[in-house]
Amino acid sequence: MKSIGKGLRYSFTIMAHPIRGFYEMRFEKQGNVVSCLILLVLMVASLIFQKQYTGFIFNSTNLKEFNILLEISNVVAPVLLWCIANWSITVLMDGEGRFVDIFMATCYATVPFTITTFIGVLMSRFLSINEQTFIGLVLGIGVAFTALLIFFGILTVHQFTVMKNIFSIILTIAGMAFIVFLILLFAGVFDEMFRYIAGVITEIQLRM
Amino acid sequence: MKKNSQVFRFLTVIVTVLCMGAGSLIVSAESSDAGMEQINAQKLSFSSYTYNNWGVPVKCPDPYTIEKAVTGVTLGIGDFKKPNDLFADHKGNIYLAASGDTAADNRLIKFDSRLKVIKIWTGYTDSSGAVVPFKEPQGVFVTPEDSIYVADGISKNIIEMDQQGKAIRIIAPPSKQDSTIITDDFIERYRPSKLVVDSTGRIHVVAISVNEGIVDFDPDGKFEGFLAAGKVNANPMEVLWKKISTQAQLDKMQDFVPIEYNNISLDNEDFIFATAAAIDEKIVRSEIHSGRGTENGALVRRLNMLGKDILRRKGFGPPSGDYDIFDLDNNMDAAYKGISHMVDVANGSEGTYTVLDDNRSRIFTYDSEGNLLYAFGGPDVTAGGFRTPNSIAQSGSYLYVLDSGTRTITVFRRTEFGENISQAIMWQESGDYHKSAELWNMVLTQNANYDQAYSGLGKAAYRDGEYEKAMELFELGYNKDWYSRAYVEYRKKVVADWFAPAAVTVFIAVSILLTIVKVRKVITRKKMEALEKGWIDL
Repeated sequence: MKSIGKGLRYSFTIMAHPIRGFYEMRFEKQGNVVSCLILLVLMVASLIFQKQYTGFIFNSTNLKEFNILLEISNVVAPVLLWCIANWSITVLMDGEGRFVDIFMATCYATVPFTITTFIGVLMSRFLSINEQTFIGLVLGIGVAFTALLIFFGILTVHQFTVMKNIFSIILTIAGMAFIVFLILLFAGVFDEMFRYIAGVITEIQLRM
Repeated sequence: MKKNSQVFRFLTVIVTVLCMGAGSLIVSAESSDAGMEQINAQKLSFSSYTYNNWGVPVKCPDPYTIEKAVTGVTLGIGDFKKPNDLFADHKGNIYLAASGDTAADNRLIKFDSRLKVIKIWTGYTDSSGAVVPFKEPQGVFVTPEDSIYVADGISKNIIEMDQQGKAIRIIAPPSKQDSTIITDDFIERYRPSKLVVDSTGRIHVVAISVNEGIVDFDPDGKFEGFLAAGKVNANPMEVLWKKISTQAQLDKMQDFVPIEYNNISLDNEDFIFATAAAIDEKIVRSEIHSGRGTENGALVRRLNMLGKDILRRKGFGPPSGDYDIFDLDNNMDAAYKGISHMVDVANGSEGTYTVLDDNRSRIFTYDSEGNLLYAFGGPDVTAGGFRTPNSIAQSGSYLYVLDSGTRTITVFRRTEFGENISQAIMWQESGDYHKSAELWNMVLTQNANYDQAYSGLGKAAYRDGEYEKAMELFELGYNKDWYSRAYVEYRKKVVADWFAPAAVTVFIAVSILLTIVKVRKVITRKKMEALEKGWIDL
């Protein structure tokens, strides 16, 4: 329990000193996976919170079509996809990070996004339509900070140079696209297969 | 045994009471059914609707009922072979321009507001007194001074005549002498079809197969130029092509984007409403999807004298007719695919306008902000709809729709619901918010799902300074712009109310804290002194 609290607090160290923070996370056993999972849950919570509690003026969510499972998968799927693709690529590029490190770095990097999302929701309840730039600014800062943290996280965890890191990130994005393509392909093939089997079964049933 | 019978009697009483209650319930249900039937009797065969913020159609009571429908045959003046254009003048008279294969079919007919024939012209008398028959009356416009303008398609002339049919002047088609932009090709294909004359006397003509824009004539009938031609967007590829093209190639390039208007109308403020056909469906669909209308996907435009589109598009979506065109599987009108295809526009009072869609044969009315007030009508002729409606005219609370497929003019009269909306908007525009609120409340008793009514009530509350109530109403009406306005005022009030108490509280709290700190310091110092001097012992 204590280590979880410590792990959560460690995200502030990472935000303040990204390079040192990620280095100590990778090589000096700072932070832990459980707190990372909690951070991910918090991110999902922030997005749900945003949909549900953003002030009327800024809320364009149709709560009738709001699906909490979809919200969860909207966070979890990209994170997993990113981690798997990045791990697959960096293994081949002599990266020093293990899968766990990539996952933890990514989760710790989401903290600014989560925090600014909550702040944005709070602001949206007190601002008018003319002041929406401020919310945009805060949310933009969150996204930029998170992107930066992901960049330095991957860089530090794998001990890459900046150019190599940029290259690996481009490859990772390509890898993500490839994985999605494979999933769709398999889904299509299995769909056909199951339909074929179902067809055969129906046929047999009708003839018996 | 006696006790038992008492219980039995008691039970009977209860049962009787219950039965009576149920009976009265049934009776009341019946009476409300009868009420429904009465409404049903006047109902259009197609349900009327509006769209909510999510682009979902919401049923609403019928804004119009069919008053009557007439054809040339029922009027005893012979079938209208090709009825082309309807126009309602300032006095409520209706003009119909109809053409056909024989000379007698090419005529202009004047009706009164209840479609009784007043006069028929098959031609005009020229200055020598000879009657010149119309070749193909495509469009008609009548000025407030009662002079009639007829767009004669085949002869390419625009004829201005008085009520006796005497030609005042003949406006010839644009010629090469008028402007260098007129080509032989243009003169060949030019066929004036619809026209309006604004209060300065300028004549704006929409012509069949002319895609350069609206053809403008000055008050003297001289060709002036094209209005509202398609805007050229600087596309990088095009710029590059233009850079490397030779002069000869450049001369051959068209320097405008073709846009074909198909109808035109003039509103109370002298602005031109024009409907455009052949707008890229993809653009319209993406605008419907995003809910933001722009000039690029505009099926109807409001043009100022410079040809700039100044239509306000602040509704839940662009004023582009039907939105519910995406899931064709669930769509009742799956046979009628695609976006609405506007063929005519009519202007009502207070900036409202009504557009006619010949794809699904529907009629859409918008207010001056671009909010959809209601949509009605439908494609099935046997159920009182239209086959190929091609013209619409509005005069007060009457709407006249011309169907070129069935060669019928249908007269619609506003229902109480439609009338209430119209009155509410009228009071709102004239600034009497209390009267408009009264009417919006009446609208709500007829249709509790009518978003515009909540917005209207919200505006009234806003004027009264009841910002909290206004916010609530704007939320019901899903009006974010006005909600924000009301919220700003509400916030101001809250801050003003609470600033003084909050400031005083903070001041007191800070001073108490400071005092405590000070007192503590003093106590500590005294303690230290005492300790030093050996007065106390720890």
